[in-house]
Order: sequence, then C-alpha cells, then structure tokens
Amino acid sequence: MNSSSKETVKLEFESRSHNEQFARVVTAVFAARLDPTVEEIEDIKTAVSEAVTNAVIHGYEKEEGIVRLFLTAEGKSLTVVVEDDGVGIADIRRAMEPLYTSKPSRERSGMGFSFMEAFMDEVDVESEPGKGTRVRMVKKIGSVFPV
Amino acid sequence: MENGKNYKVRGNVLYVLMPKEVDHHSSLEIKAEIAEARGKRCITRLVFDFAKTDFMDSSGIGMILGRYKELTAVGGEVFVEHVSPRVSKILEMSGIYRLIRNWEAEM
Repeated sequence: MNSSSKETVKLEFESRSHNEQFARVVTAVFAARLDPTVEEIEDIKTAVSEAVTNAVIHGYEKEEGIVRLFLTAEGKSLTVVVEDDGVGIADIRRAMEPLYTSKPSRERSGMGFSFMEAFMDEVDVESEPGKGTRVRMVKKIGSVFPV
Repeated sequence: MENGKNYKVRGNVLYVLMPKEVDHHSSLEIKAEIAEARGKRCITRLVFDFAKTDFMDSSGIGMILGRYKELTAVGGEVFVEHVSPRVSKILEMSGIYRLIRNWEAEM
C-alpha cells in the first residue's frame, strides 16, 4: 500500500456471537494490506474478538443490537474502532481491571481488556451508561523487528 | 473423535477435541458438549486437546476455568494437550497454568 494513502472500512452487524468470528476475519483481511507478521495478525484478531465479544455480551446482554466496526489503515498503523449502543459501562477503570467481570455466572474470565491492552499499542474506551461503548485500538505494524 | 462427537471417554478421562477457533461462540458449544459427555459418567480428568486450534481468546479461558471449578468440585483435574505456540501464549498470559497441567507431561 502507498504509505501516504489512507483506507477505511465501515461495517455494521447484529450482536450475534457468530459475528465475533466474522469481525476477526474481516479485520485480518484488511490488516493484511499493511504487510503484518503472522503474530501481529493474531494479536489484532484476538483484540478485535475481545472488543466485539464485549459488545455482544455486555453491551446488549439479552436484547440484540447493532455493532459497528471501523477500520483505518494509514502508513504502518491500523486503527480499529468497535462501537455499540448498549448499556454502557459506569466504571471504565474497574471494567478494565484484570480478572474483573460483571458477569461471573457467565464464565467470563475478566481478561478481555487486559488482552486488548497486551496485544495492541493503544486502547481507549469511551462509554456512557444507557448510550453505549466505543473502544478504539491502534496497532503499529512492524514496530518490533522480527527475530 | 468418535461417533461424530468432539469428545471421547477412556475410563474416567474425558478428551475434548477443541475447535479451530475457541471464542465466546464456540465456547458455549464446547461447554454444552462437555456437559453431555459427563452426563452420569464419573469423569475425574478432563483433557482439552488443542491439536486443531489456531485461535483462542479470553472466552476460552473463561470456559476452561468454568470446567476447572466443576472438576475440582468432584476431586478431578483439568489438562491441556497439543497446544500451539499461540494458544500456549494465551494460556500463559491468563495465568491458568497455575491450575491446569500439560497432559503430555503426565504420560
């Protein structure tokens, strides 16, 4: 890809669990334009899976809603935004604590945000109770020299 | 594995063949299949076989932890086997290796 050009993809889908895989695959195909390593692709897929799963399980709980996925490739940087119009998060800092889960009965490990932070270079969360949640993540491709 | 199922039982050991991608969606299916396999059997060792798996996220960790609680409640243990480097990384990052062991090391 020409490093000066910017490319974007916008996608909307229902908050159904099989769309977690769909979101991962679309993101991986898009990210491939930046010529990432296999490990970078796996990191991105894991982070997207965590964010979309959060929207499906926590954002919308029992009702179904729309999840939006925005992908931007610019230079050697991939930006992924996952948005929902669900219940929102009252205490973002607590939600991002390792092992914290608001749904222990649903067998959630509480590792979702920890994995996003571990695998991406930037993770920002904006949320408003009753309005929804927006997770923005950036991955710099090629930031680590392959060994 | 056999009879079109993703598990097999040998004595009190239940082997579960994990799918290619272990996420929230497939974890729900795996959980249901393990419940079916355990049924009225006395299973005290559960082995997750990751031979086919190249993707796992934190939902897989949550599902394994759930089974760990069930198995340890009846004095049982949980193991993993045929773990790829990627799956191993996820398992290590989660800290779950403090609770479960590698099945190959038991043989």
